[in-house]
Amino acid sequence: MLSDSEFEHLRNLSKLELSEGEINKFKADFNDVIAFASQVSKAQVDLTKSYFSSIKMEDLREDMPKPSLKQEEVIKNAPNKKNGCFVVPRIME
Amino acid sequence: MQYDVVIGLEVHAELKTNTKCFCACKNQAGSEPNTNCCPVCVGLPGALPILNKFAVEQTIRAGLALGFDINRTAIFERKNYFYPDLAKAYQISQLVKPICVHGSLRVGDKVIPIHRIHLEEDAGKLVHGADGNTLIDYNRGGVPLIELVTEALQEPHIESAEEAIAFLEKLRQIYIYAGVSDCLIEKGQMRADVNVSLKPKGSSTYGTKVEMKNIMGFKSVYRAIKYEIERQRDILDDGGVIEQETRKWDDDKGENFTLRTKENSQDYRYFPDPDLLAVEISDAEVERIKKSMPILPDELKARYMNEFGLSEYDADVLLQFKHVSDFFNECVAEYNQPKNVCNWLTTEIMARIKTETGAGPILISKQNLLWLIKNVDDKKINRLNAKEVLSKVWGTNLNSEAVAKQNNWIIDIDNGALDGIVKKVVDSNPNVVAQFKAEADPKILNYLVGQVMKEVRGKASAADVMAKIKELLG
Repeated sequence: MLSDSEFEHLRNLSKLELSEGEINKFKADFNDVIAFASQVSKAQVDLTKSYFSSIKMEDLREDMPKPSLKQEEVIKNAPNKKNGCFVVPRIME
Repeated sequence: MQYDVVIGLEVHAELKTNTKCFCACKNQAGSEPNTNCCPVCVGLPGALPILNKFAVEQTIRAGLALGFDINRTAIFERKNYFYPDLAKAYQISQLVKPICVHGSLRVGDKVIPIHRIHLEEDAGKLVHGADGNTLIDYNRGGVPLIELVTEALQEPHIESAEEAIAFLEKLRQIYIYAGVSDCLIEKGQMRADVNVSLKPKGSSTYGTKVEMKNIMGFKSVYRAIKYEIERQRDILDDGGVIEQETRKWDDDKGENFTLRTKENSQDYRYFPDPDLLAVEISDAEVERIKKSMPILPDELKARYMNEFGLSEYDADVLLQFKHVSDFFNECVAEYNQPKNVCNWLTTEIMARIKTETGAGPILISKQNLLWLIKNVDDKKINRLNAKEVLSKVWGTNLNSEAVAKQNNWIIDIDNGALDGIVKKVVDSNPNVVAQFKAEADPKILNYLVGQVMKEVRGKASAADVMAKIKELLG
């Protein structure tokens, strides 16, 4: 179960403003997702072995350029654009 | 109270590759905004990252240059944060298994231990407008970036702003010589985060660290560290407590201010990127890269001093810029007079290429410069005229020999004729001769040398002329 403070922490990291109703809905959804994912911990696995798959360095992508998208394609779906750039509200970290 | 200063560095350098880290877009600065971008760069749903082999190779090369162990398995994680410089809302980086672990860098008498070097992607460039909006260019987003982190808890530490700068300068030199990054600071290709803490002198307990992120330029790093040491010293002397926080260095004001404190520090929620496989790095690959390593500055310096007999100062001047030491190496390979070649490079050539931020290109060919050096050595042209030739040839297609001939600067006067001219000048200046005989100061003879040189229009070696005058005067 996700505690209220954990939920609030995640909401904060996601920079989301949520209404009381939304908070209750998402908290329930979140707990469902966590419960679903928690089934993994019941799996019988041999922890002495590693299960991740890997790729040999030799088989990685060669460093050869391919054409990029055109600028207008890149910013096509941006709601706000200027001088070939995406425009977003100014947020200083 | 007396304090020990402990400084940690995190240094980012953009790798020299053709393509980005996780897609085949060009890794090229200075393009029109958003023209080196694809669905991976702008985080479109469903776009998949594909790791660049050469970026991994360059990271290994950086590690080998600094004596790192290379992990045989490297894993990429997602570092989640919400900021528009990365469209996906996470940066692909490395946490648990970086490519390089445990290296070191010698600075003066200290060998500074380095914790790790990992490979990650650079973020896009934000331009904050005055109208309350921010423009985003994702060309830099996805450019391969290596992050080096010094050891936080292992001695010896970097203990002063001076040592920090020496560390950064040396690191920059090694990266450039190893060919892993151009490290152009003004272009943001090398950036440093700095953390500073103070502890009572001799204490084994570390103080609270304060971090300053993304400081541009080594001069600013220097000032930022000096400022932060003083700030913490003042607080501690007044019995205060240092808060763990990130502070922003304002270079214009010459001070820093709170950016974020621990309570709201970033929570990156790292986890392995399911889009990327772990990379297996074989011994054979590491060996192959080891064999391809270019000669590094420390080794070159030893060669310059031991084999060529150059002074440490001259060796350092040559090594300051890679294209200068490359040029020197080529010249010496052809004309084995390292000291003479070094003299020309460290004086005449350096004076012409040095700029405020670095050094420009050498605008004379090896052949043209060597012609001058050899002919000065062989007394076929005097040094002053040779410098004139250099000025005329610099940045043009002219040929040194042709310019020297055109100006009638080739020394072709025969010994007998020169003897005659020397005698004539000595005979017609009895006052000077008398003064020399009275005072026995060889400087007085410089006037006579000048007169002879005038007569022969510079087509003699001043040293030869001086010797002849002295011989004549007994």
